Amino acid sequence: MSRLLVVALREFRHTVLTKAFFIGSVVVPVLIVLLSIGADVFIKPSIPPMKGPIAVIDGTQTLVESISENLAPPPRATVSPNVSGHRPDEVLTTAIEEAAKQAENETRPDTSELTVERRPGDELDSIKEGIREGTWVAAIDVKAGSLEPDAAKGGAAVIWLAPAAASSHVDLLTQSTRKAVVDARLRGMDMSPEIIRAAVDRPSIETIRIGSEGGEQSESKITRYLVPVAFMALMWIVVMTGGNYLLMSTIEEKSTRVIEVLLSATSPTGLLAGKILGFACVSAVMLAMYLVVAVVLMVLFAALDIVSPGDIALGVAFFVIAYLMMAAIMAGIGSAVSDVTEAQSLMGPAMLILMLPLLLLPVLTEDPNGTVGVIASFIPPLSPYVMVLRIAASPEPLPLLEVLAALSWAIVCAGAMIWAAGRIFRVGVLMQGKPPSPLELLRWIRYR
Amino acid sequence: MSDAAPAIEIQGVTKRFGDVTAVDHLDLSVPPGCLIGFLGPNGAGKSTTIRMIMSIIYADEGSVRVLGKTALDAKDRIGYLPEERGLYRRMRVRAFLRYIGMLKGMSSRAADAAAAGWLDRLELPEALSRRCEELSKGQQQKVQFVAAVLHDPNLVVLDEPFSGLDPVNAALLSRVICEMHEAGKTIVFSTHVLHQAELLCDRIFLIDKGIKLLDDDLEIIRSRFRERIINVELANGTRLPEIAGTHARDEHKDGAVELHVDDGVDEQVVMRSVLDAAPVRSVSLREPSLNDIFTRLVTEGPHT
Repeated sequence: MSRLLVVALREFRHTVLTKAFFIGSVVVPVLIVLLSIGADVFIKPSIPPMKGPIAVIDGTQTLVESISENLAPPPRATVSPNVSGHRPDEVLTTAIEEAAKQAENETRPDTSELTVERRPGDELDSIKEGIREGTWVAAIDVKAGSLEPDAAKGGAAVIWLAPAAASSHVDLLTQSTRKAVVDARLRGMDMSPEIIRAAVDRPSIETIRIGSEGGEQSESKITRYLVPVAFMALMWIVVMTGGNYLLMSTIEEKSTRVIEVLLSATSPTGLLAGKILGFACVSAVMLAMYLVVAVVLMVLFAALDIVSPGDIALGVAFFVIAYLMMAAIMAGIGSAVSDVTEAQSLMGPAMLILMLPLLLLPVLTEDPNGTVGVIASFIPPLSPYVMVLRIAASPEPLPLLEVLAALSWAIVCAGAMIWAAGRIFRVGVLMQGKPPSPLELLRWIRYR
Repeated sequence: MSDAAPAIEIQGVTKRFGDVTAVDHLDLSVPPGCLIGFLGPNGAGKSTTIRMIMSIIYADEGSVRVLGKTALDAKDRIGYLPEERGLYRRMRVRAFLRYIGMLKGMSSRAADAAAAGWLDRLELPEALSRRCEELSKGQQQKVQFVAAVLHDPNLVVLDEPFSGLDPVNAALLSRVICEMHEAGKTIVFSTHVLHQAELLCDRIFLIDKGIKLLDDDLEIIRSRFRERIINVELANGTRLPEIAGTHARDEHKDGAVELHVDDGVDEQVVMRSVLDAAPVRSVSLREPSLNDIFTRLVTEGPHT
C-alpha cells in the first residue's frame, strides 16, 4: 500500500471510528430527523377535555344552536396525499396544509361530553356560582343587538369560565361564539356564510417563469429558496467539519512532535496529500449520510426531480473543490501554529472570508445571476458555494460557458492553494515558537 | 550497494535558515557497518545534518547520498529516532507501531510481529495494548526506539537516544545498539554525553557552528591527540609549585591538579618532581578523554 494511502487510511479510521464522530456526525443528524418527525408524538400538548354543561344567555334569541354546532367535535377526516400526476411542489404544499389542519384539530379540546343549554339572563349569578363549584363549565352571555352589523364595537358577548380553565377552552369558546355571531349577521343580510368564506379563502397561485429560449417552468418558494440554501449550507457544514478535522490532526502531530517521525518515513507532500485524502473521505461519509436523509425525504414527497442529475454532478465537483480549498487553508494554518490557541488567532480572518457565502445568501437567492453572484463565482474560496447556490436557485440553467469557466477557474485556484499550502506545510511543521507573520508565510512558500 | 560504498556520503553540503548558516560546506563519508557518534555543542548543526540525511529538509548546496541512493529513495532502509520525539497520545502502541511500520513499507502483519518482538527485547511487552499516553516517559522512549528499528533498517540514526532513560534502561538500550552494530547495521548516534559516545562509537564526527572539526576513527583521534596528563591529588591545604617539563595545568575546586607533560620529557621524571614538591594523596598518568578533545577543539578551534 502506498504511503499516501496508509496516511489516508489512518486519518479516516481514527476519525470515523471514534465516539465523537459517531455522536456528532451520525447520532445528531439522525436525532434531528427523528425529533422533527416524532415531535408531534413526543411533545404533543396535553389538552384537557371540556365536560359538562355550558349556559348560553342569548340576548339575540337566535345563536344557541349555532354555538352548539360550533362547539361540537369536528368530523374526523383521514388524509392520504395522492402524489401521482401532481408536481412535487403541489404534493409538498398540500402535505404542509393538511399537516397544519391536523395540528389545529389536535390542539382542539375534546367536546364530545359537552352540552349547551339556553338559560335566562336572571340566572347568571347562580350560574357563575355553579361555575365556581364546577356544576357549569362556562357561561356565554351574548348581548342583545350584537347581530346588528353596525353594533357598537362589533357587538358584545361575555364568557365566564372557571379559574383553572385551559387557554384552549377559552380559544374554542371565543371562536365558536364569534363565528356564530358573524354567520347570523350574514344570514340576516341574505348571504351564505359558507359561500362568503369560500370567496375570501386564499386562492392557490402558481408561479410560472417563461424561459428566454422558449418553454415554461413552474416554481415555488421551496425550490426557489429552500433547496438552494439547504444545499449550500450542507456543503458548507460538511466541508468546514472535514477541514477542522485536518486542522486539529496537523496541530496534534506538530505539538506532540510525532511529525518528525512521520517525515522520516514519507515526504511532507505525501503526508499532506494523505491527510487531505483521508479527511476528504471523512467529509464524503458525512455528506453521504445527509444526502441519504435528503433522498429519503424527497422520495417520501415524490420530489426527486427537484434537482437534476446534471446539477448533482456539478454539486459534487464543486464540493470537491470547496473541500480542497478548505483543506489548503486548514493545512496552512495547522502547520504554521504550535497549538489550538494560536490556531484560533489565525482562524479569525479565515473564518470571516469563509462566512461570506452565508452572509451573501439573501442577495444570491434574490438575484442568483446578478453582478454580485457572477463576481463571487470567481473569487476563491467563495466560488464553489456561490456556484452551487446559483445552480440550484437560478430560474433558468446557467450558461454552460459560465459554468465551465467558473469550474475551470475554481480548479486552478484550488490547485494553487494546495500547492501553496504544501510549501507552507513543508516548512511550518518543523517550526516551533511564535506563529509566522503573513510576510513570513510568503517567504516559506518561496523556500527551496 | 557494494560493500565498499559509504553508507552516508555528504559532499559540499550547505544549509541556511535565513541569515544563519546551519551547515557550511560539509563533507562526510560514513563507511557501512560503522557506529559513528555525531558530537557538537548545542546549535552546532548536528540535527540539521541528520535531517538532511533523513531528507526531512534539503541542502541548499551539495549532495547527500544514503545507502547508495538519494536520501528520499532510501527512506525505507533508514530508521530514525529524532531528538524531538512524540507519539499520538490517544493511539494504542500496537496501532502506532503498525502505522509506522506500514509507512516504512511493511505489511500490517509483519509490523505487528516485529513490534511484539522488539517490545519483548526491550522488556516492555505489556505496552502493546496500552494507549501511548498511559506510558511513562522512559517507556515512551522505548516505544519510539522500536518505531525507529521496527522495519530492520540498514542505517539507524539515533538523535540523543539516552535522554530521559534511567541508568538501567540506558544500559539496556546501549546493549541493543551494540548488538545491532555487531549485526552489521550502520548506526549514527548523536549525543551530548561524551562518555557514552566514547564507550559505544568506533568513529567520531565533531561539528561546531556548522563546520566539521573532526571526522575519524576513535583510535586515530586518540593517537592524534595523544597527550600525557598527570593527575595530582594534593594533601589538604597544600599547593603545588611550578613543575619543570610541563606546559599547562588545570586546577580543580577539589584541589586536584592536571599537568600536561611537554613533548620529549620523561613523564616518570615529572611525577617524581611532583612527589618531591608537595605532600600528595595520589599521582597518576592518563591519556586525554573524548571530553578533553571535544573541549579543546570547540574552545581552541580545529587547528589546535
